[in-house]
Amino acid sequence: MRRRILTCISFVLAFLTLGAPAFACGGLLSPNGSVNLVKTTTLAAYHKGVEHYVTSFRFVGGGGAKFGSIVPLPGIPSKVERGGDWTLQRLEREVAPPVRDFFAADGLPAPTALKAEIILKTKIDALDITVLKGGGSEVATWAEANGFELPPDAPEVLDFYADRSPIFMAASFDSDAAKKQNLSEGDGTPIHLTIPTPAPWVPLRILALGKQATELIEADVFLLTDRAPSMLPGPDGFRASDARPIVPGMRLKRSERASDLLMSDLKADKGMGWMPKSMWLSYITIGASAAELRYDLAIDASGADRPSYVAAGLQAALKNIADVAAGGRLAFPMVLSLSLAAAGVAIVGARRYATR
Amino acid sequence: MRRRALVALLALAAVTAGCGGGGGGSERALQVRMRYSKYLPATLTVRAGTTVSFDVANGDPITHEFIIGTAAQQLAHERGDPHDPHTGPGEALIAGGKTTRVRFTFTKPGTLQYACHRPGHFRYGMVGTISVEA
Repeated sequence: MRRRILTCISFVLAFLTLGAPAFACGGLLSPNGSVNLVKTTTLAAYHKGVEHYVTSFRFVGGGGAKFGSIVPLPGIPSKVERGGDWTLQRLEREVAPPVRDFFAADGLPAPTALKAEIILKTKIDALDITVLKGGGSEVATWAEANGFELPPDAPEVLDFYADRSPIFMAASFDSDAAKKQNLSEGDGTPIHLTIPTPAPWVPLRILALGKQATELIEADVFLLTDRAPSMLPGPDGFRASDARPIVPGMRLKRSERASDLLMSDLKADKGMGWMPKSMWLSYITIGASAAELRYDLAIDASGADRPSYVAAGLQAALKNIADVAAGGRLAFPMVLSLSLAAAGVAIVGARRYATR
Repeated sequence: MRRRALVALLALAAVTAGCGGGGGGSERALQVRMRYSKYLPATLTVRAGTTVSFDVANGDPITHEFIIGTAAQQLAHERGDPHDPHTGPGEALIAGGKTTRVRFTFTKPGTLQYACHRPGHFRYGMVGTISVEA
């Protein structure tokens, strides 16, 4: 009997876990400061100097409450449009064959700015999207002025991003529009951003916004690139050609030429016609505590194998390396380790050689 | 004559400085800054009987609070209405980028705290300690 109960519980847990992973990207903000824990799925595809960033925002209910999220971007998007209907699902299915029903995320209001410059405003289904340009303080001021109470770590996290790229996207569900469109709690709206940029990166630290230090942040990140990408920091399982930080909270689970079937399925989705015939698929899982997740994922798909420390949010570590190395007090590898440890990056491996 | 005036001025300055140091029944001015949802400094020491004028500068773009009270009072605030306007003695709500003056008289020795009870802020560590010495 006990075993049956356990089996039932396991089944229900498995169903909940596999059947309804939620998609979100960016720090979730709400008027009462509460933050929902949702799993995030993101596609960052890079081709011909353009990053295609696809994520999904989940409607978290009406009741007059506003929920929103802020996503830092590596550049000004040339296009913001509704994402395809199955791109994220298809990628999830590719790496976890049982068909997954997902979608999710968050939202934020899109009213007027105070000092941050509004670059673009658009509405996609019931989702209000605002692309802002400004420093961390300006974006935070804009968010507060628009009725959102930012979590206490927001000033530091927004500065962390604004120092590298002053472009942010705020997304929020319009409750009235959601009602009219019969959106139910959990329904998702995929968003596809086209961002010309010479140095693509995927924002990860923002996922920990508002979370307690020990809370586990989970996310699936898919990369599609012309060739096998070089990454910084390196996910566990990534074979780097130099001494770069490998972080245990990030695992490279797949690194392979995308199958013809996957490519044709993705290319058939709305807005995915830009895809070339063949691309390299990298599947990375994030499973790190909020305290550990203090970096982003920088990508170099040029073949030069030089992902940017700045794009990865590790410039402080790099500065420490330069300062200490200039003082000649420590040998370079030790300086690197100490600096990255100081930046909150756990190093599990250093010198690994590429086999790509 | 001029020298006497100078001596008198220096004596007055010395007395004032002594008051600033937190003598009983005296006045004292202190500055507290908020940045990245932390207080700077995070610990203060005052003498019992001192009235302190706190100049509290919010260096963050988000709203913070500066609420003086015992640990038990802080817990009560934490459980109370997060949007209480906090207009009582030793309490202030400070918008992003603004500075507010808060006056408070420390009547008896003990340990007090200053804290922010905006949602999530206290748990994040936005709390400082005031040692009130006899």
